[in-house]
Amino acid sequence: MFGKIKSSGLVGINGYIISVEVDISHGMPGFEVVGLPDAAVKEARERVRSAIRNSGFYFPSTRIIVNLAPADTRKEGATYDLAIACAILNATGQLNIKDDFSPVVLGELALDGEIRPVTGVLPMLLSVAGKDNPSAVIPVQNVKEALHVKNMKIYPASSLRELVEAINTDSLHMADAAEDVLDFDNVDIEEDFEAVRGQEGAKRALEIAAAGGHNLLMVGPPGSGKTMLAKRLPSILPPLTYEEAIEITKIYSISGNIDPNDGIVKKRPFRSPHHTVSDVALVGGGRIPKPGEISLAHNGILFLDELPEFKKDVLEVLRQPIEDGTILISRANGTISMPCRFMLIASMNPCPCGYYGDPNHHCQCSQQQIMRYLGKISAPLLDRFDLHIEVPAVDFNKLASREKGESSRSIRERVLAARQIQVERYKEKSIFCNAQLISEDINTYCEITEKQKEILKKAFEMLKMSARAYSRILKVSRTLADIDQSRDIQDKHIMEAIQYRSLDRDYWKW
Amino acid sequence: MNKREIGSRAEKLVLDYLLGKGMSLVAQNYISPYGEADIILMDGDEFAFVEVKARRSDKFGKPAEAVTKSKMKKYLLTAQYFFMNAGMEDYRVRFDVAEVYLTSGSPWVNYIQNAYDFSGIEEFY
Repeated sequence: MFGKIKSSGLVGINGYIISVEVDISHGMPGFEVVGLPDAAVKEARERVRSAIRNSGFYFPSTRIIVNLAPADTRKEGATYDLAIACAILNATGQLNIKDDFSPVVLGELALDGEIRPVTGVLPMLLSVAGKDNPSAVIPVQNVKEALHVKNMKIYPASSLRELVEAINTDSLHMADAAEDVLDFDNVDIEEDFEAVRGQEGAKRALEIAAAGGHNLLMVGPPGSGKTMLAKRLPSILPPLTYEEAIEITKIYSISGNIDPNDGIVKKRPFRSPHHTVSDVALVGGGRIPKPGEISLAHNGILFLDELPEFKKDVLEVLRQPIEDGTILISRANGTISMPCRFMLIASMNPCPCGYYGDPNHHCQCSQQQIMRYLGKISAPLLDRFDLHIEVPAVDFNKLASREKGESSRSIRERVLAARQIQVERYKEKSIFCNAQLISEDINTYCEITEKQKEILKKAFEMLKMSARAYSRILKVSRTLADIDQSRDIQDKHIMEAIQYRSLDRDYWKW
Repeated sequence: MNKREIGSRAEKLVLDYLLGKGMSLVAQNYISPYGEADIILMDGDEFAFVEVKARRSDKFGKPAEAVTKSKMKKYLLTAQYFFMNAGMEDYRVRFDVAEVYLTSGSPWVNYIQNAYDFSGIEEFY
């Protein structure tokens, strides 16, 4: 007796079809799962056995072999419970599936036959949807997420008994396509820039960072508002596009962070890992690779508070993903690539005590201590921040004033206008903002005059800048011009951009 | 009554009970190099290997709890040996446990069909 049901597994963020085959034969009674199952898949035996019995079906007490094909990839998790149960019921003639109906079946089983939600539904279905796989049976709680897959019929299932009866009587109900219009712009601004008193320079820099998707480093004494500023950055970012939201949802689905009521990530991610984070937790990894913080920050913000407190090797692993926007994770079981196009926002004190360079306090640190502290941020890493700004302590009069700062809403309008120009300009390229420009395209899109070249040359020699710093200045200049709605980059844009690179000289001056 | 007497009395009790249910006896106290099977029966077209466990009190747990993994393994190997000797390849078999309660009052049998199988057999070795 033989039964077969389709299911799906994951490699990185891509799914593939797994064929669940069941053979029931005479011989020594037993229930075995083959095809490189991990512990959770092996334990499916007990869940499937109980779920089938408790749903009022007959469970054969003979020899049962379950094969998960292809047999040479590792299978993990409880995703296959439902498919195994259906294949056994199919093999024993209790489930009759028509020849033209071969859905991808996903779901975990409870002992009473109830179907539980699983992770990774969206990436699995997106990769396997198509001509050969027009339908899928999905746990009810995962349906909202699954409905974002086009060209696929989605059948919700809540219990094994109901599902089998519906298939046998040909009365399976399809889930309705998402009726609710997705409104990504409906971000309630919880933390508004108007609460920040003073710090006009820092606000300007954050606006530029948001407008061009640039990386930003803030240096300042404790209590000057660095963290407060960073937390307000999401309130001025442009809304997600549908494509961006799907990309983020794929990653969040694998890590099991999807709200079943939404089924899709609607807000730009803001990830703020603590400085004790390990390198694997940051970039992703594990025996079976899982997305790390940088991938969870894809299309959003990665905020590293107290940058020098992070372990040095953890910071250095960031260098390559910042440049590439993808991370390639290689393990014995294979190599996978995950997207990680994020804005890196970092904040730090200028020295261990925090008051180096502050006019109101005495810095207690020795020159050596300061050097060691700042030395944790290597030159190549520092180079990758497009904007370096100083966030000085705020004086009392500004703090006590009743005057509110500019609201996030009005800053956001300027950001949106600048982004609009960029989207128009790069519509033939697969990029969305200035920070993503590759070096070949910089000369095309960031044209400068001879005079501006002179300015840059002088700055270049004075500040001893690298080639990377040069291209980053051009990108920031382009963003400044976009904020001013100017077609050409003007002298003042170049000069402002250079000014955001001068911190290296103030602090990292040895 | 010593242990051996209790054992054979319990086996007799179980055998009568199962024969009364329409099963037919194949072998009793079948010995293989791996161990001994108390009773082998035919139930329709299915073989049943029955382990009999008797208890005079439940001070030390239920009788079935005394059927350990290593005891199950002995039965599974003995069954394989039995079918190999008989030259049989296509057969149906199950492994049952018969609990015999010899507490005060008349003795009674709790019969557990399909008590265990070869699932996760790698854990046995």
